[in-house]
Amino acid sequence: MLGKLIKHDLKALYRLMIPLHLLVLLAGLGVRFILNIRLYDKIPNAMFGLLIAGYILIMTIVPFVTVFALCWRFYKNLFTDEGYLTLTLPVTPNQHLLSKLISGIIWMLFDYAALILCIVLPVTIPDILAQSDQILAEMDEVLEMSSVTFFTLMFVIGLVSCVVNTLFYYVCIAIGQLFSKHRVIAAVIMYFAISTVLSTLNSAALLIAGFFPSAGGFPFFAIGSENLNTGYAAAPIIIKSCWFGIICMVIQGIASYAGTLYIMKKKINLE
Amino acid sequence: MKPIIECRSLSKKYGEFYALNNLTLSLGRGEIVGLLGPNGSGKSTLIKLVNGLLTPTLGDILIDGMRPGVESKKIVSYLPERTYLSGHRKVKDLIEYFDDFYDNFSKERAYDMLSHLEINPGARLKTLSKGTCEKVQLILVMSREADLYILDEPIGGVDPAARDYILNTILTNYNENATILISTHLIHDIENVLDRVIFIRNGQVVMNTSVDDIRMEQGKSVDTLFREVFRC
Repeated sequence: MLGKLIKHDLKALYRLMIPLHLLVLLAGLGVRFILNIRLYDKIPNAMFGLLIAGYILIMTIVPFVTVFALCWRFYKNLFTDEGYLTLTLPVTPNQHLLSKLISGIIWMLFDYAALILCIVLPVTIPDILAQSDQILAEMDEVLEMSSVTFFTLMFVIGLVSCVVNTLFYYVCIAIGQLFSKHRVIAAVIMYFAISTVLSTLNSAALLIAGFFPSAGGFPFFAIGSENLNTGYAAAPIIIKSCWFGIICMVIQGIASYAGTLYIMKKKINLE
Repeated sequence: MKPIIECRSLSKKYGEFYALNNLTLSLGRGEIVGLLGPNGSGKSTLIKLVNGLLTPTLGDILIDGMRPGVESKKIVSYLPERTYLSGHRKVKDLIEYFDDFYDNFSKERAYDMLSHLEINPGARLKTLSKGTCEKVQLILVMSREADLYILDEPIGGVDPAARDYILNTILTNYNENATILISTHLIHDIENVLDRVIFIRNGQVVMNTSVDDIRMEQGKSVDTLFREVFRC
């Protein structure tokens, strides 16, 4: 049954997701083409600026549309009139949630991959590739770690946040359903309220764990003692705070999943 | 044989308000039952509880001896009052959807009823009238070989001619051991098909009797009795 649920959840959004992400790829290819043939030398600066602004706009808006579509599907399919059908199918609330999570992650990864391609396509033109060694060396120097390590970390964080963010949107929508009226607005308010609380807690945890520099340096275990005297060292801080962030995200993800499941099992009340 | 629906001291509370209050009820098989009561009497709450769309505050509800869940949903075919079909979907997509999830769904029966009502399976729901959408929904529900059909206002949104077809569809598409629970305000239109009526008020059953008894012993129609019992 889970496979069937996922199939129908994916099917419900492909008509939006495919064209939307083709647009992202086209934008990446377009900018690559412009840079490749050095079109910017031949067209007015204003027009070139507009094209780049369009490219950035597409890269900014598409992830929002993806997230909005996922949230809308979750809300509409489970908590509006459609819920009278969805929630009376012979499947468990856990299967419903898993299906929404897996299909959501698939679309988020699709979005993630399209955006990476959209960035990679323009920067892999021969002109830039010729300078890549120098660019990477400079990045290694600034980051104080291999850029491969850095990008791997960013990739892992990206993957974990795909899952955790999807779950977080779902739990906020589910909490919104506990209100008798204005449930969408309640869900949005919940999103901002819980985000604020979590971000404050996160900052507090980072501070306590010693990831923020203070007058006395890094008080706890954030960096090796050898760095306390020699000055600021970015790499250990970045790596450790990334792992710390991942652990926090995993805890948040588990709590979001458990909360959503509880509401779906015990507190469903369709209008 | 276990009752198809059994409620034991069932209560559902919203805030301080009891939508169902210590309701006890047992429904057998092979009957068409009218669940009747004024607005706010608790009909929808009871129906939602049967379908697992709400959880009881107190008491128990059993469907064929099971608490509402995956197994009970396999044998209950539910037509809600609201249109639950998404407008952008085609009728044939919905048939595939039902066929995917319900082992007891008959595609042949569904296509047969669609063709009888001249509904194009390739049409998107948003292109159909509200009445036609309701017919599609009823066709989907009645194309299942269920043990319990729950029809919430099945004829509320359609014209009188279509009502006859719908009632006929209901009567000809269920097996003798199945129970049909119909909730409606249009008592006059359906009372001829009912075997039993349950009157519900303030979340409690005030009458659970056969239609024959009403007619024979009280010499009244269900519609007349309803108006007397629930006179404002």
